[in-house]
Amino acid sequence: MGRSSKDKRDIYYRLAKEEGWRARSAFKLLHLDEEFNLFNDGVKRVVDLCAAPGSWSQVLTRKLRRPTDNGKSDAKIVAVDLQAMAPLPGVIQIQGDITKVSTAESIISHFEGEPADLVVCDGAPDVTGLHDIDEYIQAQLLLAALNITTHVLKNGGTFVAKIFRGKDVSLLYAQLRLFFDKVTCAKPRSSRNSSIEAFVVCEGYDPPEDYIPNMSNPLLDMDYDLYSNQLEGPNRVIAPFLACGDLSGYDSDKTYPLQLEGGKEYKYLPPTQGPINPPYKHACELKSASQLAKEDGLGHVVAASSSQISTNVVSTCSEPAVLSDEDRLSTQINTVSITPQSNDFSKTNDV
Amino acid sequence: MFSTLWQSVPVTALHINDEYLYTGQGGTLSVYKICKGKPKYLEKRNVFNHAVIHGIKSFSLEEKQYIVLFGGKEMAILTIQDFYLVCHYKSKDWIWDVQPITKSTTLAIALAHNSCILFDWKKNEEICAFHCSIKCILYSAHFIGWNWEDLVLCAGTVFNQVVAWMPGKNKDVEQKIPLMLIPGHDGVIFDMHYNNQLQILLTASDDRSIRVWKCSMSNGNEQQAKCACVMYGHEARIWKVETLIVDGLVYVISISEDGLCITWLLSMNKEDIQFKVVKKLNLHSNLLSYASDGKDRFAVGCNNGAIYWYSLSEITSSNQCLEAAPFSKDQHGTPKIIKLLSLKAPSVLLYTDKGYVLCYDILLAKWKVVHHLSDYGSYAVMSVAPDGTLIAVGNTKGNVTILYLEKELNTTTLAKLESFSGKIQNISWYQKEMFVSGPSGQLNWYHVDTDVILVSKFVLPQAKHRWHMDALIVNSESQDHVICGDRRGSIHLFVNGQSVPVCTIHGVHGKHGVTSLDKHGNIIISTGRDGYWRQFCVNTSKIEMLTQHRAAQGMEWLENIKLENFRLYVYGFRGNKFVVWSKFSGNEMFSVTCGGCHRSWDFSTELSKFVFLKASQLNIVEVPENVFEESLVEVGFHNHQINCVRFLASYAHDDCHVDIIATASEDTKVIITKLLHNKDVCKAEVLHVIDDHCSNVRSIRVLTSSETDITKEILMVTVGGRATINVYNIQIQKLASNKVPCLVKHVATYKSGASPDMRFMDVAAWKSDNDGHMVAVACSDGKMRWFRLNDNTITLLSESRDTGHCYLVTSRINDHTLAAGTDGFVRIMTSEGSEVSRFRTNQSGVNAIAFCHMTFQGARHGCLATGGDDNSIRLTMLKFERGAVEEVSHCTVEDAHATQVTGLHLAESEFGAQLVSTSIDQRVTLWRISTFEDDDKTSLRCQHLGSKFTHIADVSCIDVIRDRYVISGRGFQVMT
Repeated sequence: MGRSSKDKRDIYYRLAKEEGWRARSAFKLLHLDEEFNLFNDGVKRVVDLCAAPGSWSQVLTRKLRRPTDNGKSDAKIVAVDLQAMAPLPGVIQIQGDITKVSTAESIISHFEGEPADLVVCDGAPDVTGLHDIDEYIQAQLLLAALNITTHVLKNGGTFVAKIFRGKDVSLLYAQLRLFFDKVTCAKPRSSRNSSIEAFVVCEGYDPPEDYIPNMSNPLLDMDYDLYSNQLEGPNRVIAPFLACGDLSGYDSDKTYPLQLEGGKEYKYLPPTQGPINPPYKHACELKSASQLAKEDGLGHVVAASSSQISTNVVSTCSEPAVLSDEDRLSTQINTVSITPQSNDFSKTNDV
Repeated sequence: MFSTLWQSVPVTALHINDEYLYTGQGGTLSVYKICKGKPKYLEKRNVFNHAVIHGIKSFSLEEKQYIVLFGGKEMAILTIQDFYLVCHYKSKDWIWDVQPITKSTTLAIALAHNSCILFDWKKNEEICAFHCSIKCILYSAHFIGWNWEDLVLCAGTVFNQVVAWMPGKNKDVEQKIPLMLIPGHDGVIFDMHYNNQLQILLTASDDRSIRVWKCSMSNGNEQQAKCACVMYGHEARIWKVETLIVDGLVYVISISEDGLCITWLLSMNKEDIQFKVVKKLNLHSNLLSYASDGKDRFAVGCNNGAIYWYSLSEITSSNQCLEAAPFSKDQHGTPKIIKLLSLKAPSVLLYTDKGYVLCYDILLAKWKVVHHLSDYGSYAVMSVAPDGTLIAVGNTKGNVTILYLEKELNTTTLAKLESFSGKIQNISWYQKEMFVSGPSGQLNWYHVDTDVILVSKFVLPQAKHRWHMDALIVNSESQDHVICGDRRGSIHLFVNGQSVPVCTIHGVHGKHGVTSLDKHGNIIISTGRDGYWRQFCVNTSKIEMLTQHRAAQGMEWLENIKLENFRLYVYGFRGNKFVVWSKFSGNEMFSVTCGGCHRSWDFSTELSKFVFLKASQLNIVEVPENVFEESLVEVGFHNHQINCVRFLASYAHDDCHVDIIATASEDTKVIITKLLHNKDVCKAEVLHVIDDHCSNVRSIRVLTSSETDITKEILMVTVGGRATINVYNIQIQKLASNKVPCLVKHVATYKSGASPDMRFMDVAAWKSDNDGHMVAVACSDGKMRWFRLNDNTITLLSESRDTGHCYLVTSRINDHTLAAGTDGFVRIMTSEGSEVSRFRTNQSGVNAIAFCHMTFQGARHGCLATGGDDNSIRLTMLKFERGAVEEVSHCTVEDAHATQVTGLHLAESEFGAQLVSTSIDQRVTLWRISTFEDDDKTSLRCQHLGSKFTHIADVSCIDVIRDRYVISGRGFQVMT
């Protein structure tokens, strides 16, 4: 496959490169804004959790950093991530853990003691491919984001976060409903139909009266119960669904020709931001240098009648058993290739 | 409602206790008894309704044995004897590990936020809970020890390190300080294993490495772990790692997502540890679970449902290779061709460049000159008849000498033929028939008995490499037909007496040639140097290809096929290795690094020998007796998401019920499976693996051509990525006596040359007025396309305009084509591509449609159900009149499911209609569709009747035949 084949398969990946976004997930936030007017005039203080590689922070600066009369922009944007991220003008970066009180305090200090108007989170954990585990870990990430949000968000504020729509998503809806007036499950048109990814838009932050923000114990997802949220019965907590983004816009599932109708002449562009150090980087280097441990070479024929040749099975660079989970989960460029060998596929697997 | 008859889901847990193997698949525990070293299925029991079993352990207390299962937020304890449920516990948090505490009714439970609970399972209550001072989410946890006081919990944190702490120490302190921190991995840790005897901790990580740490966990002192060794060998994430000590040798076995099960051998020095890889088994699936008996046997469980069973001593033993005694090369020449012979004793027949035919008795290690062909030089072809008594040798001058070989190795020259005036290219045997290829494509057929008769002369068609490779005889309609495969890769059919072929399939095996032909019943199987084997049948002077199959990836040179115990084995070469590959398990049964395919070799299971020439040296490799013994305990299915499932047939015979099911997957394969149910057991058998798609297969449509009590004929259309359509004819024989229950014949292929990146998302098919069929395809470029299928060709007839949105589903309804896509609109079109009607049913993508007829306001109307990405199901009542379609009424269930609806099935019933829906939320829901009067207006109503949770993740499709339901996703499940 040529280097432009991903451009054909994925229109938003290509548009992101053309428009200078660090990841195509930028369009998802833009589409969410079209529907929910997230960046209204009242929004002055915004937190971007799990911000790397920074495409949502890019959207926030372009949408909110409007020059005021005295030439200074008004909105303050704080981006938090465990890993370092390339600097973005107008974004205050905190390299920190969202499960720590100190991180919440640091955010508030950048807002001069004022709470945030909007908290967004596009974080996704490393996936294992085991659905129940992935869904659980993603739920815990979302609840950790919710936990820090309860420390920094003003009453009436908005919280937007990525969710996986899996078997137990109604447990998450039930938990979020405790904290917000209105919880909507939103799917931007830039997110593929085939992906289980969606976003919860939680409006009107209104914690229970006796609730005291607490980082020392994690917020857990809830259990099914006999009455309001049944495992198999008709009563379930399901957030209303809303498809976001204009129908006349690009369709993330559609196959487009490289030369778009009425578009500029197609030109291949490299990604705006290369992948961040993946955990398997060293293994990939070893593999390309053919230095992964191999089955111990040939045995030696020593003498007649009793010497040995070892049985060898498979050379190291054989058929990979695993495709990347890209289609299902990935939204960021840095999680595109989960298994390094996916490029070696002789068979193509269209996504 | 909905009881499960059969399911295939990932094998997430394995455990071996004494003579039993336990497996966890979804929420179901299965038990196998190990008889004569092999597990035999005993029974299964559904333990968790909602959670997936991720771990199984066993323990005993007061001479009673128990088994503990855990996964998700649930834990259960059963008695081993009778599976009596002693305790079922639901935790607030995810359970990563459970450890029974010796001589007590308690166990320790490790939770995902680095906390630990001491739990009394007799009283079913938590005794106490403790946290580690390092609070974060864990990806794995592993208990070391059996006493609460000195129990160590190793936690694999989100920060890529191991935190070891003691939950039972200093019981007044709620937050425990870690005993040790072990950083070093570049990724999260998925598994840990501690060997107390060696005092080493093994960690397996997302960074594709296994690390061995020297540390002592038993003394409870704070200390530092030392990384003694880093092992890179896997190419994807490593899920499980464990030590296995046999005869004082320390082995490490690791399993990974890349399909490899690696056996490492450690050598321990004072300071560091050295390692080497002893065995890499490639099981071609994501390997999820592992268990060993601690001695020699171990089991591996796969994502595709397969379970393998190995003996460490067997897999690490090397091939016995004998070096033949030398013979005088100066006198007799250099070996050129070898063949295995079963005479009195196993022997090797050898031809040298000086024209000598030698025989080597393997047991006595002795050479004997059998014959000397003084006028034969360094070039010759030699072939031995199947019974081993006739040897034919051909030379450059067109002569063929046929020798008769007696048991005492004496030869008589049976005939000297002057076949051609030029080089003999090849000689092959079929029983007593000999086929000899000469120059210019000449092919002579001789019958060899007490004398030699020239039966017929054939001429192969013009080609660069114009000689035959193998030939056999098929008797049909009292005429002798010869099928022959040539070096050009073509297959020809000759009739006795006619020199040119009556039928040719040109270049079917690629440019490098056909290697062998075999006959099994009425089916002819060919192998070739293109990595494929193909099935053919002969019908009235015509060869028809039925199906084609690939062996393991990388096996590009196939030599032969062998049927053993009704299972098919392929001989061939992968790189520099000779390989025997099993179609049944996908495993390599035997392999030898012989240097590759361009050499003389022979393989015989009767003699248990593989022989090859390397550097003019005869090498003899012993083939183990159990070479065809399969290590597969349970058969696996698809390695990835199944996109579509369809019933091909469902029928009863004797006291059994048979379901034949086709599944299409992201892994590019279509699998046809037979499920045989009788009273308590259900057995699954893979009948066919269709491997014609070069990208994912998205949809299957089935049309019944004919059905009687004994046979059923089906037309099956499959579509998928890379704009591909494949069509098959399938004949199902319902009688159990029939050896081929399902015959698959590939009919036609279509691939779009214009836009290869396009995906074909769904397909509808129907019989057209003239003989052929029509096929409508929903395409990812925003268009619908219509094709005509006639005989073996598929022609594009028409296409619709581009809607700007990817089409997802299509169906044939009342002479119209109905299609819907990611914009939430349903469009009803003619086969010429013009739109008859359009209405919006869902906010975004329509993933599923279903249709039935229903009486509404006293008239017969069409009822259409659409299920969307927006969690909703919409029912639309449609009136069809004179080519026009009109919406009469509709109703919507907004939150029919908690996630996108992916499958629907609608059937008319006495009260209106019955709808079954499936969704990614893993619920199968039954709905009643009825009508009601409201203000003189008739309206539709959709009532929830009940839901059932399923362990199939990413549910993609449902199909229904009478009272049987099949759903697909990550696995598949049949319900009733």
